[in-house]
Parts: sequence; C-alpha cells; structure tokens
Amino acid sequence: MSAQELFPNLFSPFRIGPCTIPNRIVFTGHDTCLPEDGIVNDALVAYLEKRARHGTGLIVLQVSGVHESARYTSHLLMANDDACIPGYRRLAEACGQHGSVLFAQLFHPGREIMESSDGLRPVAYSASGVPQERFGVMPRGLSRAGIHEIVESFAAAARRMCLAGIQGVEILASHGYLPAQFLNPQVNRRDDEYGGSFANRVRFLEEVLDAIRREVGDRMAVGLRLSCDERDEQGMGQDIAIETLRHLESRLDYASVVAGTSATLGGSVHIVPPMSYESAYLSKESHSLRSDLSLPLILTGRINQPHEAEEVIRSGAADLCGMTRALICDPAMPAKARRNDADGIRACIGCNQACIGHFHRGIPISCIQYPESGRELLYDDLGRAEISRRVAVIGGGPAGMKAAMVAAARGHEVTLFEAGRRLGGQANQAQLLPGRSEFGGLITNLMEELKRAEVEVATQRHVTPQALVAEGFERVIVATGARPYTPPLELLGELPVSQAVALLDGASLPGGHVVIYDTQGDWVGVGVAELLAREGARVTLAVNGLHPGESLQSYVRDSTVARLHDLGVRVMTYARVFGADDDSVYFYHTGGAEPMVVEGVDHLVLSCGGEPVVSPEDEDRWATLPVTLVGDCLAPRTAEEAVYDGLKAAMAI
Amino acid sequence: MKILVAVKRVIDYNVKIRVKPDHSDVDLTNVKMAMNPFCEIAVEEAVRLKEKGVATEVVAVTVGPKAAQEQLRTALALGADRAIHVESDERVESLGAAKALAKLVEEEQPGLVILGKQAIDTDNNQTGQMLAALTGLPQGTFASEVAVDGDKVQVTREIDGGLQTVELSLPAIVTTDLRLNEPRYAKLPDIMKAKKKPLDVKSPADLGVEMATRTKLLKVEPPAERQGGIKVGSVDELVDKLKNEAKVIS
Ligand SMILES: Cc1cc2nc3c(=O)[nH]c(=O)nc-3n(C[C@H](O)[C@H](O)[C@H](O)COP(=O)(O)O)c2cc1C
Ligand code: SF4
Repeated sequence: MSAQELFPNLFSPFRIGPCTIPNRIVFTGHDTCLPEDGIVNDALVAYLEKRARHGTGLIVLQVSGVHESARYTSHLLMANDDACIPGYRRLAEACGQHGSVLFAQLFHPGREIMESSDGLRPVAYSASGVPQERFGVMPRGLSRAGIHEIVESFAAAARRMCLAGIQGVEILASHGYLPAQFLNPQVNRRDDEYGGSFANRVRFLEEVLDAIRREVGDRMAVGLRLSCDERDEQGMGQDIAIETLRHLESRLDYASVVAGTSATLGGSVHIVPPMSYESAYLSKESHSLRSDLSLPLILTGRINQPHEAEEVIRSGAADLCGMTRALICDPAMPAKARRNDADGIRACIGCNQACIGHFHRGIPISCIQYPESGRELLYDDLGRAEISRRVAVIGGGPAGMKAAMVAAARGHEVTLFEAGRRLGGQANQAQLLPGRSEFGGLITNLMEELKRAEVEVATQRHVTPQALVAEGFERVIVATGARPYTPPLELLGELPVSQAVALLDGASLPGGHVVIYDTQGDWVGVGVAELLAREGARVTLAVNGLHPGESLQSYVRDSTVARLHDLGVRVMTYARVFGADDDSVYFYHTGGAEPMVVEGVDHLVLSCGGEPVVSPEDEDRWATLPVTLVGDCLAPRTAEEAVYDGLKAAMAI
Repeated sequence: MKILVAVKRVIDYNVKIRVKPDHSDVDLTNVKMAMNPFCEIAVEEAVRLKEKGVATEVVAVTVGPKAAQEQLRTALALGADRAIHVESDERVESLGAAKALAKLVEEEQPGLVILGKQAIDTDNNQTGQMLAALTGLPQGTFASEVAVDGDKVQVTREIDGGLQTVELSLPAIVTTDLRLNEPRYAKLPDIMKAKKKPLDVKSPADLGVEMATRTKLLKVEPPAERQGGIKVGSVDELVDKLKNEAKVIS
C-alpha cells in the first residue's frame, strides 16, 4: 500500500498562513541543551537537519528568549540581538533544503526561572508578585514601561527570525509562561489596564501579536502555543483557553494545543507527559476547541506512531500532530511511515529519561533507546567497518542487543548469545510494573532492529569468552548484566526478606505490612510500592534519598509519587537499613544517625540496585582475549548507559 | 551484685512544654516523650558498674502507662539485662512509685538501687528519699561519683557550696546528679537485641500497692512571659526603681 492509502491525511499538505506544510508531522519546540552561549551551533543544525532530511513536515525550533530577562536556564537560545540572525539562517537553510518548514518559538518565561549560568537567582518578572511554587521564585510585578519593553522585544525577535528566513513564529503562551501569567487571574493581580477583566488580561498578548504583525506583516505565519487546560488548582481551565483563542483568532494563523503548567509539580507533568498517559490523551479537549474555532490546530501529547496521528487528524481533533519524542527517538519515522514500514519505527516509550530528563540536568538531549540522538555530529551514520569480523555478543539485555545490532549494521557477522529463554534483560521486569508496560517497547524495538540487521540470536546458550575465541570469534562483547545487590543486613529473626526484582519474576507477592527499602530512587522501588499497594498490602517505602523516585525524571517521579500518596503508601526518607528481626526493620537516619524503627512488619523487600556478574578476577582471566565489557556487567547503571555502551563498543570494531 | 534502676517516661527535654487551654494539666498530645535525663544517668552508672565487673545484673524498672515500655526498651538497649513494668494509667505520685519500688526491692533483693535525683516533669525530688524511708536502706542522694568497695559504697554528693562524700553500707539507695556521667546513645544493634530481652509486666495489685494519689492537681500555669529590660541612667535611678517599681529593696 502507498503512504497515500495508508495515511491519507497524515501525508497531505496543509496551509498555515503563507506556508505550505508538506505533511502533518510536526517536531514541536523543545529545548535541546545543544546550543552553547545562546546561539545556534553545529550540533543543533545537525540534529534538526536530520529530522528534516527524513521528511518531518514542520519543525518548530526550541524556545528563543526575546529579552535578557527571559533566560530561564543557562543554555537557551537567545534572539535579543541581531548577531543571532546568521545562526537562525543556517537552520532555515538546513531544514529548507529538504522541504521542511521551520518556525521559531518566541519566549519569555516570566516567573518560570529554573536556574542561571552563574547559579545566582536572577530577578524574575511577572504580571504581579505572585510566587511560583515549583522553583520557589518570588517574581517582581512588571512596570508598564517593562511591559512595553518586553512587547517590543517580541516584535524585534520576530523581525530577526524573518530576516533569517524562518517562515513562522510561535508565541509561547502555554505552560504558565509570561503570556499565561497575564491571562491567569490567580497570577495577574494588577489593577491597571493589563489586569482584572479578561479584556485587560489578554491585552499583553494582543499587544505582542500586533507588534509582531507590524514588523513581519503576512510574510510569516504567526501562531500561539496554549495549554487547553493547565491541569492544576493554581492554573487556568479550558474556559480561559477557549476565550483566549476566540478573542485572538483573527490575529493568528494557527494554535498549538498542549496542557499543563510549569508552575507546579503536578501541572508540569503535562509538559512532557510520561508513559502513564495514553496516546493522544488530549484529543477530546482539542476536538472541542476545534469545533469552536476556525483556526488550524496542532495537537501534541503522546502521539507516538503514524497511525495514531492519522486517527487524530481523521477524527477532526486537529489539523497537524506534534510528534516530538517520536522524532527524538526515531528521526526517520516520517520516511518509514511513508514507505509503509511502520514496523521499522523505533517507538518512543515515554520514559522521559534522556530527552526532558537531560534537559532538567542541563545536558544535551538524547534518547535512551537511540543514543545517536543529539549526537548527530558523531553518529549520523553508523558507517561500515573496514574489515568484516566474526563478533560474538554474550548477554541479550539492552546493552548486548544494541551492540549486536550496531556491529551487524556495520558489516560484521554477529551472533548474540543469551543464557535465558528470551531477550531483554531487566527491561522484562521493568515492563511488569504499574504504568510501565510500555517499557517493554524497548525490547520490541531492539528485537526488530536485530532482525533487520540479520544478527543471529542463540537463546538458552551458556558460553564463555574463552570458548568463543577458540571457536573462531574475533571479538567478544560481554553484556551479561548484574544480579540484585543485597546490602549488609543484621538479621536477628525470621522476617522474610526478598529482592524487589525477584518478586516481579512471578513469585507470589507479599501482603500484610511490607517495608520496601530503596537505595536507587529508580523505577523499581516506587514501582514495587505501587504494585504491592494495589494488591492490598500496607506499604512503607523507606528511601535512602531525600524523596521517593529521586533519580527518576521529575514528571515521571511526581505523577508516580502522587499515585503512591493516593494508595496510602507511607514514605520514610533519609533511611539507611541496619537490620531486621521477626517483625521490625531498623534504620539509621542518614542525616544524623538517629535510629528509626518500623514495627509490625511482615516482609522486607530490597531495591538496592545490582552488582556486576563479571568480577575483576574474570577480567584478569580474559586479559589476553579480545573482550569488551558493556552495560551492567561492567558497572550497574540504567538502560540508557547500557544502550550507549553497546553503541560505543560496536562502533569501535 | 544486682542493681535495680528506676526510669521514668517524661516529655523529651528538647520539647517546649505546653499547658492545656483549661490549665488542668500539661498537654501531652502528640508530644515527643523520652527517658528522664537523670534516669539515663542512672542507667549509665549501673551499666558501667556491670562493665567493670562490680555488678552482675542490671534490672530496669518503671511505673507508668503502657507506653512507658518504650523507655524500658531504651534502658535495655543501653545495657540493662531485663526490665519490669509496673503498669498504671493513673497519675503516678512519688509516694506511689516509691511504694511499688519498695516491693520490688523486697522481691529482687538488689545490692544497689539507682534512681534519678528528680524527674524533669514535676521536679519533685522525692522518690529516692521515700524509697529509702520505706525500705530502711541508707541513701546517698545527688551523686556525682559512686565507688563500690566490697560491701560499702562511697557516694560523692553535690551539696550547696561544695561536695560531700558519704559511705553507705550495701544494700543502699543512690540518686544521680547531672555530673555523675555522660550517658551513651542507644545503638541500633543494641536496640535490636533489646527487643529479645525479658520484660515483665506487673500491676500494682500484683505487688499489693495502692496507687491512689494523695495530692490533687489544682492548676498548671506556664511561666510568666519575661518583660523586656530597661537601661537606667544612673545609680540613683537604679536604686529608685528597685525600691519603688520592682519593690525588691526598701
Ligand atoms: C527535552 C524537551 C524539551 C522541551 N522544551 C519545550 C520548549 O522549549 N517549548 C515548548 O513549547 N515545549 C517544549 N517541550 C514540549 C514538547 O514540545 C512537546 O509538547 C512534548 O514533548 C509532548 O509531545 P510528545 O508527546 O510528542 O513528545 C519539550 C519537550 C522535551 C522532550
Ligand atoms: S528518552 Fe524515552 S521518552 Fe525520551 S524520546 Fe527516548 S524513549 Fe521517548
């Protein structure tokens, strides 16, 4: 079947203002942390060019700060000086050469200031001095002169984008940023012409849009990104969103619909909704907006696969689909859909770890499944090895699968040996936790890639590097993983103690009062807590860290912690386990060494990470062999490091 | 030699005392409780005597509500060998406690009984002395040093203006002052082991003692707020204010 028959809507062109978008697939604006010093660099050009090359219809650039006070992190793009123009021009040319349309996001965060380059707290401005909860910011209300200056800075930035050859600008009024702060009566407490009535609260946006049109006229598409619902007590509901869009419709060429607000933990989950949200979960809201408006709409939020996007457009929920993580994870998704190869698409699993997770840590964007993402300058093409070799990979977890697949793609003859019945390693357990079933997609995707790279897979085979080398393999990659780690425990009684991951392997689940001890802050501790609580156990989650799920990306963490709260899971923080007797578990407080005792316990469950199955002695034994260790058998970390280890090891052969 | 140590559950000394709105008593709801600090010193002294080989067994005792078993467990974690809980939900007065302890002294026949000199809740400073009177044993109160020597114990007492050393023949009663020792903290291994040590629960009736109180609590007042100070300009002004405002000299 042709793309036209399979995806009749997705691959039909669409007009926004003066631009014709070749298809309905949109790479929505997302901060990559690739730029340094606020300007476009080679890494960002290569990152976006790759998505354009593989057929993305519309690319919306990551936010560009319009004013010095818009620096909400230390690594955003800035458009407040004409010196930025050549950089944007490079992007416009790089994307335009493949037929993609490029828009830019014009941005002022108002009070949503996360961090700064020198670590000091910058002065944050907002409609009024109403504190921001998530980052603990007390903003300063803007003077009228200040408002005017920022309005003009939006116009000046639009002019620069126009000069650079960018075809449209999108004002970020979503997620509680400055324009939303003016719209929200809980944040805007002004009593001048910018506050009070809706007509006054929308004035800021009117002035911004009018100033932009004054500069660029109809030569550019002008759009607005807006949360259809900020989904928080302190945020705006759908009524204000509808009123705003109706009011501004005549000034706009399109609207881009999302949900959530940056201002609170719960609201911010929707900025990048994790895997516990279903595909295209905002369709209903978008549908009702669309029936009220004649404005073209882009809908974004967990639209992962071309058939899902096709359905959103067919059903009339939106005109175009943001498919952002789908394209972070697989830049070639549009091309694959177009050539009817949906099975070949590496679907995003909504783990949030390496995309928005990296953003929050200030490091360049990537993807746990596809470490080449964000590293286009290094790995745009896997290339062919000069000499084709016989390569053995021992261990079929994510590290081994990625290594085998990349080595094969580079022209080697690869066999993957797995001791167990099936591939996937610890991802097999991860997918059994509540709301994490999609994590299994990691295995599905890698299996498909192995198949296509023609890796020979041998399961239920115990092999050693010595034997494989004797058999004629020229390189051996060892990826045998980790076993659960048990911390030193003083046991003075009969309290049953289990490993969390062992429970997932099908043993009967403990009931009664279960204490889970978690040193990792990863998905296992909180996941098992949720699982057991849902199965009716009374759960105490004792974490070694400062809060539960400490190493999870915050949207994943906060939506999970909220569910644990609903389930009545009791949380203890700063806990270091000491021991257990028949019915109590004993902890030290890690801050002050004060004992903490949990009584009336029926079961202790440990989630303390892993220890490598390959020992230093093994390493010495293999010293003369062409062996490389990757993943957890080298050092237990997460799936992200495992997959990247696999890529690097295979690239070195 | 066996040592009997009495401990009391009181409001943790780190916690500010609040009075109930109707002034009927101190407010104990959701307040952190702990072992009376002078009792901690008593336990420590007993445990040290055992560690030195002077004592062979340390028995901790409390008279009080069910929850006071927490303090017995603390004593066990600090090194006591076993514990006896005389459970009473009534308000415990010094005399009631002393009577219960006297019965236990009769049953247990300790060589030494160590108590705190007073409990920081009511600051009575009575139980040790009453116990000595009821049992007829010699007493060394406010101890800052305790040295057992054969069938005698030398107790250095903190008294106004200095120290006094008395020698008592054993068995004897000692109450502890602040400088006797610095109590150790309970460590987790010991807290765990403490749970396995024996803890006997008795009622006052088992001991044949009457816990009914002989005093009545009329009213509890928090200390008056301190007034801010003032600066006086001269000695004359100071004398004048002391005479006429503070009325402390005439
Ligand atoms: C790393 C990252 C950074 C983001 N930064 C922005 C941003 O700068 N501006 C914006 O409007 N949305 C931002 N978003 C939200 C995305 O545009 C998009 O709405 C979100 O990823 C949900 O779409 P998806 O489910 O297709 O990934 C960001 C998302 C990610 C993953
Ligand atoms: S890191 Fe996870 S959420 Fe982000 S793009 Fe990759 S698979 Fe999707």
